[in-house]
Amino acid sequence: MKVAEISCPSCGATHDVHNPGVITVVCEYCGNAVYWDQEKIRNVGKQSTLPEGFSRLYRGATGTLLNKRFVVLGRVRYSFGRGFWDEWFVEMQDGSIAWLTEDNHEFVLETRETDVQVPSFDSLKASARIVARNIPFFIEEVGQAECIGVEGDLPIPMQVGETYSFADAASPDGRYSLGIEYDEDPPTVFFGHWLKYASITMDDEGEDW
Amino acid sequence: MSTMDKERFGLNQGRPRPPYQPQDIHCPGCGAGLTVKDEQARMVVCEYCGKHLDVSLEEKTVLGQGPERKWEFPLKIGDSFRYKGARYEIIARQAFIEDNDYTEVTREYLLYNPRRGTLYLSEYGGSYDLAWDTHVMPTTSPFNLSRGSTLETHDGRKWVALESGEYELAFVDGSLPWVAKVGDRSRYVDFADKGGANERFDVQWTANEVEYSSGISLTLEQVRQATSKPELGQGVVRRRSEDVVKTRRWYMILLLFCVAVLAFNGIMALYCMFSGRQVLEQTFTPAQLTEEVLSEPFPVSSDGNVIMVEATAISMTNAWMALDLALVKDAETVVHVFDEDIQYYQGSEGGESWSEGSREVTSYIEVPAAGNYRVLLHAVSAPGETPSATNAQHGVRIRVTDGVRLPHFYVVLTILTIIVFFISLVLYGNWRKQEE
Repeated sequence: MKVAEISCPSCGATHDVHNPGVITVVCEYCGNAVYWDQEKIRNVGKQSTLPEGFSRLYRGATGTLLNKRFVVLGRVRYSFGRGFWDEWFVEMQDGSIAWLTEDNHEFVLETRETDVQVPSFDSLKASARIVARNIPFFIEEVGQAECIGVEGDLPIPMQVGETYSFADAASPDGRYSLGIEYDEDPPTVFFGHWLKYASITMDDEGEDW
Repeated sequence: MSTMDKERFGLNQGRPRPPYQPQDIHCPGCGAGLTVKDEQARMVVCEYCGKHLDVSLEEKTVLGQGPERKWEFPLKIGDSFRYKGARYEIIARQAFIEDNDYTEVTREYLLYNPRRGTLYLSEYGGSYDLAWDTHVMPTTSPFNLSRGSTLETHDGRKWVALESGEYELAFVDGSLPWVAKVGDRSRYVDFADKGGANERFDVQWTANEVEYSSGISLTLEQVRQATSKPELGQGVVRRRSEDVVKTRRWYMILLLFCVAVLAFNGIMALYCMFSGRQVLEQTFTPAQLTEEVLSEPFPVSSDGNVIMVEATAISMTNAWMALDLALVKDAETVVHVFDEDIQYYQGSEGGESWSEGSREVTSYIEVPAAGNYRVLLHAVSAPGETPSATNAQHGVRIRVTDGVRLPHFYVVLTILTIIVFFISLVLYGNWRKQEE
C-alpha cells in the first residue's frame, strides 16, 4: 500500500512512497531531492548521482536479510576524507526499517541505541573504551563525515554537503560495531553487528562479473 | 498487508540489477586511457608511463613517478582467482623487501570482487597465503613478540608467532583503495594457529594505524587451480620454511617431559626417604664413643634388606669427628665395617652468617641375611683447628631404618634431567630469538 504519491517539482515525474517513515525522496530521473511530509514538499535541489553496480545492494533490490524479505529504499554516501562508506536504508516485509552500513564491501546491520553514555567528541581518541549492552567497544576511527551523495527514499532529511563528526568503535571479538554520530545533542548512537556474506541473499546477485 | 505490498517483497519483484561498469579515466601524466575496476580506488599506477596517480577526487593528479626497477610477478594485473565459488581479479601488485635485501621479497596481490570485496594473496619463497581483513583483536599486545610466542584473540583462538619484522614497499602497480608510496614501512607479526590448523592471523602496524587480518595458507596446487594456471611456479625452487608451530610443540613436549620426569623423580626420592621402618634410635656419650660401644640390638626383617644408618653429632660446632662403625650380627660377627667423617663449621663475616658441612651423615648398607644386629661405634673428635684427637668430645645419635629403598637411581636421573631441561631451555630461547 502506498502512503503517498508525490510529483518531482523539478521534472514532474511521480513517485510512490510506501513506507510512512520516508521523508526524503530523490528523483531517480533528474536527481532532484525533496523533503516530504504530510504538510508540504520542499525542493532541496539536485544531488550527486551515485554510481551503481559496485555493491551487492542497489536501490530497488529485493532479497533476504537474516531470513526476512527486504527491499532497498535508498542510500546515503559519506566521505571520511580517505574514502567513503554507504548507508543503505532498507524496509523489511513487516514494515520495519533498518540501516545497512557498507564499508569496503562488509555490511553492518545497525539499530539505534538510546541507552549509551558516550564521551564528548573532543575527548575521544583512538582505542578509548565504551560499553554498550554490556559489551566493551574500542574506538577505531574518529573523523568528519560529509554526505557526498543520496538516492532513493530516506527516513531523514539529507542532502549533499551536510557534515558531522563521527566515531566508529568495534568489539574486540569482531562481532559488533558502535557508530556514534555527533549530529545532535546527545549524539546518535547505532549498535551494529557485522553480517556474514551468507546473512544476505540477493534475488539478483549479478552475473556480470 | 495488501497484495501490492506483498508483491513489492516477492522474489525477483525488485528492480533489475544495474550493470557493473568500471570507471574509465585518463592519466594526467601521459593522457593514456586507464580502467579503474574498484570504485574505492584512491591510487592508480599508470600502466603506460608508470606515474602514481591520486584518483580519489574528480580531478586526477600525479603523485609521482614510480621506481625504475621493474619486478617480476608470476601473476598479472587482470588475472582471475577463484575462491569460494566467486571470481576475484588481481587489481594491484606490491613487492615488499626486508632489511634492504632485494632477495627477501614478498609479493602481494590485491584481489577484487565488486560484490565480495578484497582479498590479499601473498607469496614468499614459493609459499602462498590468502588473507582478509578481520575485526577480531588480540587480548594482549601483539607487538614485540618473538618467534614461538603465543597470542590469544578475543574470539577464543590461540596463535603462535611465526616471524616478525619490518616490510618496505619496493614496487606497486595497478589500483589501490589507499595511497601507497614506495619506501613506506610497516612492522608485522605473523601468527599460525596453535592447534596446527591451516589458519593465519597477522598484525601490521605503522606509526598511527594497526591492522589485523585472518587467512589461510595455500599450496601451490591450490593457487594453480584458483588461477587456472597449471604452469605457475614451474622451475621455481620453493624455499623450505620451518614449521614453527611443530618445532615449538616439540620443545614444549621436551620441556614438559623433563618437568614430568623431575616430578616423578622427586616423588620417588621422597618415597625412598620415607620408606622402611625405624628399628633403632640410641644416643651415645663422648665417653662411650672414646671406648668402643655396641648399640642395642635391632632386627633386619629379610635377607638382602637395605638398612639406613643415620649418625648425628650432638651439639658439635666448629669441630670434626672421625666415626668408625661396624655392623655386627648377633653381637659376634662383624658383617660390614665403614667410617664417616663429620665436620660442621659456622660463623659470620661482614654481618652475614655462614655454615659449612653437616652434623649428620647417612649410610646405606645391604644386609645379606635377616637376623638381629647391632652397630659397633668408636669415635674421636676435636675443635676444627686441632689436627688429631685421641678421644671423643661430642655425643652421637644413631638411627637405623630397616627395609629402605635406595634413592641413588632417582638422584642421578634427576641430575641428568635437570641438565637436559636447561640445555633445552637455552636452545628454545635461542630458537625464539632467531628469525627464520
